[in-house]
Amino acid sequence: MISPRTLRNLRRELSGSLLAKLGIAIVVFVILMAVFAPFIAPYPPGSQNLEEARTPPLGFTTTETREVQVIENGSVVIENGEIQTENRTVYNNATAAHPLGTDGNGRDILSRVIYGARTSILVGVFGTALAALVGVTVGLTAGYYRGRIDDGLMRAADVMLAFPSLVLAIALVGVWGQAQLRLPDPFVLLGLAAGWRDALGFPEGAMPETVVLPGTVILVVALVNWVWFARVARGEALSIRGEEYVKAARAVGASDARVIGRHVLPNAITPIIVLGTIQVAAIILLESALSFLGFSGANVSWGFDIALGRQYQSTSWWISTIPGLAIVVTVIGLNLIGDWLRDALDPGIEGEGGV
Amino acid sequence: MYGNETGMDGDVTDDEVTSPGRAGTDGAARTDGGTHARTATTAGTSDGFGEPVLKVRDLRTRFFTEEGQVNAVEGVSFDVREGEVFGIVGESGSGKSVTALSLIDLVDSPGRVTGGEVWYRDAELAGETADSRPGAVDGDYVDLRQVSEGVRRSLRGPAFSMIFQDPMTSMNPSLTVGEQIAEAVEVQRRARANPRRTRSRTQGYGLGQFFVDSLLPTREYTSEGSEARAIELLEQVGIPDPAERADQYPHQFSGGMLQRAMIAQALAGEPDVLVADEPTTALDVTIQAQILNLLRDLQEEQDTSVVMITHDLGVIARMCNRVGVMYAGEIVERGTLADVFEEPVHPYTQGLLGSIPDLEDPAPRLQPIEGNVPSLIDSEMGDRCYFADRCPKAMDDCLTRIPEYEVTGADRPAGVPHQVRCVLAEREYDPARALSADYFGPDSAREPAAADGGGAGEDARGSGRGRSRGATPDRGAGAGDGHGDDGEVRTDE
Amino acid sequence: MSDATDGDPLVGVRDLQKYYYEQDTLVDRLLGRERRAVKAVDGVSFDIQRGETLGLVGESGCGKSTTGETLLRLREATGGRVEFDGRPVFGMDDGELREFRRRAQIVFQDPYSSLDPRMTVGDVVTEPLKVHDLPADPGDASKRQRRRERARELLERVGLSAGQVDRYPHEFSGGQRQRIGIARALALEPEFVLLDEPVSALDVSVQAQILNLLEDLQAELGLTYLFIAHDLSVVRHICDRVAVMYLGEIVETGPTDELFEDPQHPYTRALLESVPRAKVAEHGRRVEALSGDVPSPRDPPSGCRFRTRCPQVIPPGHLRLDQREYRAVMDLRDRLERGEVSVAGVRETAGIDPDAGRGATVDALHDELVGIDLSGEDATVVEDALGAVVDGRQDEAIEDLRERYESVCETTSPVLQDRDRPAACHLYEQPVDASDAASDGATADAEAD
Repeated sequence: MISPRTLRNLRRELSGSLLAKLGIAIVVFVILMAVFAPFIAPYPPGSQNLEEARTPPLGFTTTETREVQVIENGSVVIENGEIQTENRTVYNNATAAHPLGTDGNGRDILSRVIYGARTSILVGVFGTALAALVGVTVGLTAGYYRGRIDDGLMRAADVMLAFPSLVLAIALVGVWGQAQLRLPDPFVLLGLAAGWRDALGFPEGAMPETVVLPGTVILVVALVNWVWFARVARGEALSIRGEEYVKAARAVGASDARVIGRHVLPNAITPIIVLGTIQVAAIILLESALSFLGFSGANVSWGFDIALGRQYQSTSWWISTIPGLAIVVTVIGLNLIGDWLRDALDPGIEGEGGV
Repeated sequence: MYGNETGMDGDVTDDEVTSPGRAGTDGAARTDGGTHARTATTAGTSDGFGEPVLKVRDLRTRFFTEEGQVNAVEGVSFDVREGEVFGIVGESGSGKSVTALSLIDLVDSPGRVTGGEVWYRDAELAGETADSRPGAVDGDYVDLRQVSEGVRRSLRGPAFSMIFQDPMTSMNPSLTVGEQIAEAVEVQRRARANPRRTRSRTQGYGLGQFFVDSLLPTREYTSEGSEARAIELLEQVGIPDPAERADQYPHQFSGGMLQRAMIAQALAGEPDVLVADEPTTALDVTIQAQILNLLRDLQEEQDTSVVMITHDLGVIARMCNRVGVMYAGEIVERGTLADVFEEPVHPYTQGLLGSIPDLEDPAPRLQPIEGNVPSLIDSEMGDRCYFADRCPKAMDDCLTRIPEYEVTGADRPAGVPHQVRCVLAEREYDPARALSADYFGPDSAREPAAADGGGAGEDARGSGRGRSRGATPDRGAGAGDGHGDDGEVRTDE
Repeated sequence: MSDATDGDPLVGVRDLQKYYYEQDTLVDRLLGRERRAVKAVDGVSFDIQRGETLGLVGESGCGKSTTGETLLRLREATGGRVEFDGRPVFGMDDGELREFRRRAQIVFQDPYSSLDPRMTVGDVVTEPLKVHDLPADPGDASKRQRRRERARELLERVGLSAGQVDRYPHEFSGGQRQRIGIARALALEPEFVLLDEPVSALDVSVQAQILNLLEDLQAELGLTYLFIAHDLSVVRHICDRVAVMYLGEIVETGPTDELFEDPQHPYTRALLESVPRAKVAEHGRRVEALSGDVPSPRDPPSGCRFRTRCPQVIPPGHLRLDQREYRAVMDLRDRLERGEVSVAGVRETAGIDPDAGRGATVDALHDELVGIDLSGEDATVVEDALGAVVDGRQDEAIEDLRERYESVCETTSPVLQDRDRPAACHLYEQPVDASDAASDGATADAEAD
């Protein structure tokens, strides 16, 4: 399916493009971060430490006014039966213990970003895969058979498109609830991560033992996005079905399923792949939006973290900004890969023009 | 009477070697990398056509692609005399279409015309250019490759015109046919009115002009006179109801009708030279007959010179006075119709003729040319005759670049030489010196001829050598066929 | 084995019809629109004997490719019957259809799109084997190995080298790809091969290679060919018998040499006349080209479909017109009946003032639509008719002209006679019960699947 010529094109486009290399680097980095999260996150993402709350990232210092208990001679002052407090200006210094700072509840932002990558990648990949599976099947069928089947399927797709995706997603999550699928994290359970962490001198802490797949969210984003795949697949099927090699396959007696699977699909795959990379980015964004609004289903999510940081926007800006940057960088990386693929695989025709 | 000095219809190239039979000349070769078109000392030739209106010398066009440099046109020379139809015939990958485009400077990147001269006869232009660029002028002839692009562009329409293979894609689908023809007429009209101005300026329909025309709705590019003339032209090419048809769009025309309209557009400027690139290939045979009749009639009426490019030898026979056969970017044989069809010397020409089924006299077996069209990529082209790897008569002599030879014969019209790029023009085929069958590699499909079955004067067809066996071997795979397809794709019913 | 005896044709086609329907969607039906039939193939009949090559020729739009594909059930016929080796093809169930596909194969026209660009050449050639799960008994090797051997064998047989079995189509030239297509068609060892313009997209020298190959294969393997083409020289070379098609119908059939040397039907004559010969003598030959364009299959002419362009259309017996004059009148009638005449348009072309007198307009119409001078009563009738057109009474003009000039060619559809050199033309004796122009042939045995 991937012919040597295609590989050559891919390599050539890659070598010529700095951006493509950057895109690949970013995405690979994010994936690695997600896979090896227990090894590199300094803290369990959920562990709170109120005393270190709102610590800024390295290089920054903030001040804030807090209500603090008055302490004299090592003990709390009590007057009239109440603990005395006063407003005092406090300096929050960055510490190396939390290189990216902490959030409102003292959770380490670096660890949350690292674990948040898991959610984004999982939802992005599975969501896209599911959307592609449904969409491509529908699209190829519609495009190959045409007529009433095509009409029917495409009308269904149009109906889906008529709904604003975010609204639909929220409604579905509301109806179906936030079902979670929990898979064991082998690195933690087998103790592999623990040894490594000790060696690195990470603080003690129980890393999450499961990988959480937000099932509903995945279903929802797939449901919302399959239409794009269907459109592209249908267009390709329409043009490929008229090719003579398709006629030739039918002339030999191949069944429709075989023709679609062996002839139409492989020749339609190129734009579908390009679309796929773009869709992963779009789905990551959609998931972030859902989490932001509270419809997550995942324990740690970049979108959710952004929401958490809203109330601290003016004072502890990093709580929202850093997860936001993570999303931006990931999406850019995916888009760059999409560009690279499109340039390399288009026009995708294996012949050359005449002189 | 004619000799090497006049270099008139003789196509003089760098390496010309004259064969001994030529009337007392010394075969002086040019050494300065170019040739001069000599002014004719004789007033025409014995087959009735006038002076050449176009002289192409050593034209070279290259395409600079990722796979390498493609030598699409490799030193092509020919004359086109006034009122004659000169045919260029070749298969795909021969470079014939690129030659046509190169003539009118329509070659697009990554291609470029890299060498040669295109001498066009225009006394007025010669006079104008003589001062600024004396090297580009020779008597009444101007070398178009040395004048400015603006001048070249101004010549399209009034001097040169082109019709293409597929009229449906050559016409703008969003303008009516009448508008497009009127536009061509208008260009001509303005050129006539203001020759100096249109030649020196870029004659551009620039952005500014576009805005002005869009904002002021009353300003149309075409005048009423042009529109009327457009209708006239449509009638001239045989389109019924021309006034109504002029208001229709290209998709409302049938293929044949649209080709007529394209011819009308091409002739709007009353060009001296019409270049027709496969004008009837996409048409059905009965429509083709109509169009060829039309072209003939118009050509005779207006005394236009035509360069007719096609792969169809039948069309060549019907339309052309003289023919050039192209292979791998070169003209390998050139002469009158009789020269090429009845006394072909070059084995490729012979092979071509032998592989066509004859409508009136079917032979039991066709004699195809073995092997495939060669790659035109510079690095892959050897320093030898390009046809040698498929030639049944290749000899040791063929392992160098072959110049053009002239074929002499008793009953030939004077002034119209028969030239061949093959040593067989002056030597007999000698099996002793023949290249072995696998000289060009074990995959080569050549079968060296046992004895001389060729040379001038032999009828190429039906010579019944009957050497073909079972499945014709076709081992030249993996060459990837460079850039040539093996033929036009006909979209048929 | 077969239900037929050896003397019977391998392929028998009777009254084959393939119509495409336009204006047939849900919306159209809601709007009450009638569906229109485009009659791509309208009543075609022929036989192909075992071992022979039948040529099917015609220009674009005549229906030859559609005939071929419908015959093989790559498209569903609208009507008619096809028998293969004595058995009806249209009624076959899936099992029989698979069997049929093994015995009847096809080679396509376009070498650049007939091979799946994503498959290696070896896969392309062995796909038929995979589909039919062959070889049934691979012996001591695996099926995959056997197929690979077979692929190599097939490539060699068509003149390519077996070592190229793992290359991709784009690495081959057009001629070589066509060979691969032929190899694929041979994979199942068919008896019958439909060749749909197999050399039209190839250069002349390569064409000759492929034609030789096809001939050799036929001799070696005892194949029967239906050769569809528009290039008459090629057809003459390779075919034993020829059928000429025009606008969905066969107008003439016969043995090749006889048909080419002594064509009966005016269309066949015109076709042969139009082909340019690659000979010096061609240069001076004056070709009487057919006028006009091929009519649309949506609305074919009544009666004989060729009558609008025929140089020998038959005038009613009592008239004293030569062919040129009659053709001029018939062209006028045709354009009037199609509503293609606009008085204003003609005025504009002729440069006449819109308010000019009737006489001037009639003259202009005459020049534009008739073109030549007529004499006697004909001149009067035509002039009166044109006058009626100027006055806006087109229907009357049409009727008057029809009354006088109606030809048998437009009232009655000619058919192929049951004789040695059939030609569907009124110039030749037609059976007495030839169908009327008004009634279309009934659709018999139409099998929708």
